[in-house]
Amino acid sequence: MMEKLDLVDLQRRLEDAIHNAFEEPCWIRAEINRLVVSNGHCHMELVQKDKKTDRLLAKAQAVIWASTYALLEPFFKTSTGMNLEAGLQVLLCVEPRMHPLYGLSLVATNIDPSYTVGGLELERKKTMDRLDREGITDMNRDLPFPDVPLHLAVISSKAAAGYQDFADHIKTGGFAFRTVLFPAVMQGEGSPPSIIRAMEKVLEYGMDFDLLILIRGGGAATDLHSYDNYDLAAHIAQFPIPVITGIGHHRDVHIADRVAHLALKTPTAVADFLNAKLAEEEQKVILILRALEKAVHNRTDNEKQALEYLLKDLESHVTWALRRHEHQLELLEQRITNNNPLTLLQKGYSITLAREKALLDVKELSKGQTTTTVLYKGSFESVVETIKKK
Amino acid sequence: MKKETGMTYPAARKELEMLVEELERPDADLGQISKKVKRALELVTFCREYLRKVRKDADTILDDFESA
Repeated sequence: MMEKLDLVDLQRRLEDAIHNAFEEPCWIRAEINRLVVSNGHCHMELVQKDKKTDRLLAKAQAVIWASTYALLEPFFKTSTGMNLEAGLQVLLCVEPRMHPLYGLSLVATNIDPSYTVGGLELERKKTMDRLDREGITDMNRDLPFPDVPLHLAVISSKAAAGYQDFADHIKTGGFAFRTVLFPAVMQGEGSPPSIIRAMEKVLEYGMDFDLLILIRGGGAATDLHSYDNYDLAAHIAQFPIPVITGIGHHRDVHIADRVAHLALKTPTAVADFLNAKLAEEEQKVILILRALEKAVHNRTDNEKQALEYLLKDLESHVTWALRRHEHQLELLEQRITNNNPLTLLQKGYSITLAREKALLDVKELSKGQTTTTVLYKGSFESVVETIKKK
Repeated sequence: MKKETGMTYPAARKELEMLVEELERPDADLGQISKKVKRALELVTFCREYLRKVRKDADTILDDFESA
């Protein structure tokens, strides 16, 4: 005859059996499917899925009592940069406990954050390998970065502090940025499809944006798992406009950051970067203007100098030309004076004319011939009496 | 000096040089000498006046330009 037991007896026997079977706690690998914190106690649903088919293979309830959770929660966060939450692969130290009223439960007493980190790293590597294989990893990074990025499409959640930080900081540079916000859910499971929808809206907006800026709301770095999502990464990589991320984390480099044109740590850093970029561009323009101004000055200065010299030349040419002419005139005048017979007559010389020509040689004379002698004042005629040949 | 409208400096200079050459010739016509000397001196005066005027005009123009 089979033994008939009360339910409570069965449950107690199971309690004993489990207690005996697991005198020592053991480490288990599982995925957190659900996580609720109530009265400081952390209640989790742990699952294990088939790696290939994703089919559920095992499921169990687990709990971290408040006193333990108060220690483990910050430990996990500082070690991984993530909150302990649904979706994570974890390595937990558990003691299986059977309670007649509440059934089987795993009491977790410790957690190994390095397992979770390693798992995520592995997952990231797989995603990166896939993007590499598909040849899209560097597509966004290979786009030329605009020199003057003024038209900015921003994907963020509007209410979040990070977006406000960005909006405030971008104004400090004084540049004429035009930003259009495309709101999206930036955190948690729903965020990749929400961000992808926002990216599609950016392209449909009908404005030529220079950059797409992805910024997360700020606050604690919780569940940034979305930024390792393949679909989101593939969309960022293939986006036709350079993408800048400011997801606001410090520890990990997410896939979204790796495929984006530029990854900065915070929304504020993105705004500062853009202001610096424009200031640099402005500086370049100022330098060009200065160089132009200098070139014009040099040119006009040179011309002015050349003109001064020309003017000086002109003055001296005029002076010299006039002097030369005056000198020539003086010489001519001198020659007139020298050849003026009146000058000689004035000194007592006289000219004797025969047949109206000046007489130079006595050979031209004959006895009895009449000649005219011109003096300084007046003239007289004479008849030749004697001719003396020297 | 008699008024000679349309007299240019080069023409005056040329005439002057010709007169001087004529005066220097040994067979210069004595009857014409006084006339020629007179004419030559007139031309000298004309040329001198002309040059003085040119210099004055040039100075005025250059001074005006430099003080502008």
